Amino acid sequence: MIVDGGNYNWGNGKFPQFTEPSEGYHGMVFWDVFGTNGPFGNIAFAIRARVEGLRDYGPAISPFNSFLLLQGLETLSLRVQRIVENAMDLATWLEAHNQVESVSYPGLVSCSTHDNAKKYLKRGFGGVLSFVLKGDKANATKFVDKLKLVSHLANVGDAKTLIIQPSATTHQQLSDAEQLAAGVLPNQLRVSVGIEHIEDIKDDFKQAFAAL
Amino acid sequence: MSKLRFETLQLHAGQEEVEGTTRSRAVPIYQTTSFTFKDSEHGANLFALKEFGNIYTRIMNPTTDVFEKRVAALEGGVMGLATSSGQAAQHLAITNIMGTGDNFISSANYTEARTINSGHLQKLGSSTFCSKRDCQ
Repeated sequence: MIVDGGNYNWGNGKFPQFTEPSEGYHGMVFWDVFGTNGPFGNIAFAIRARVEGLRDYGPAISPFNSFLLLQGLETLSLRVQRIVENAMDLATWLEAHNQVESVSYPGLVSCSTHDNAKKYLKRGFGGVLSFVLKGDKANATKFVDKLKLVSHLANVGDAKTLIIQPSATTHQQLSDAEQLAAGVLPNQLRVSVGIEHIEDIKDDFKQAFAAL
Repeated sequence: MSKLRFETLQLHAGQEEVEGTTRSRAVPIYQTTSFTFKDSEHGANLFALKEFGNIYTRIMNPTTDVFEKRVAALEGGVMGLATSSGQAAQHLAITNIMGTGDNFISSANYTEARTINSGHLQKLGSSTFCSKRDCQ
């Protein structure tokens, strides 16, 4: 999804795509018709991405999928409220756990970005946290394999609680040095907290900790 | 009416009035490839961008239109453009403003974003600069 903020001057001379005649539209100049001084206001970026990009490359969304996404949007804020509550609770609980080395979540006072988070994130600190398990990379892999309720997958932002070991999956194509530069440790796990009952999420974590 | 809040926009933005023919409360699913023209002049105007309207679902679709308007309203933007995936959105956004010889600054943090930027775009003749840590 692209959202055009409508606040950039694409007619500043650095973007000939917007200020020179378009071959595809008989010499129409996008910035003249769809820029700030045109009849529609500044929608030049989104219009050009649609009538040249989407038209010619073709990665169109199915109308049925648009409907499903609309259906999901109707209750988005309700789900997010529950997610940020659960995430704060889980982060606090993990930080106090004796098998956990550290937790990274902007809602925690211990987080280096906590002051900025308090300033900008007025309604909760998000649904994603990461924590470093005591022990080596294999130990973290074992923890993931022992979870039963929590899903092991690469996504974030589901209604269900998700976990992944970035060093072994999403970031494995980076070298060890690049992983460290990206803030990825071998025994670190990323959690995207869902809307289940928080005690059921903790119970699953408890039985996985106990199995190490 | 006063400015609607996020919680209300997520239910109503983009479909302020129900569609005239059926009065359907839910956003109807227009599962069609194409849309008929009223007459030849109407068709010609749509193709020339002299008039907004539906030609082909690949370019725009009434169900998708509500979705695009709703997300744009929630994000505070002026127009939305939905795509089949986030990577497709990134591709359209980048190729919309870049050409051969242009430079692009990327963070090194996310694998797919990094490989599209440093790999595919370089093959198309654009250079990429990856930052060592975060883009500040």
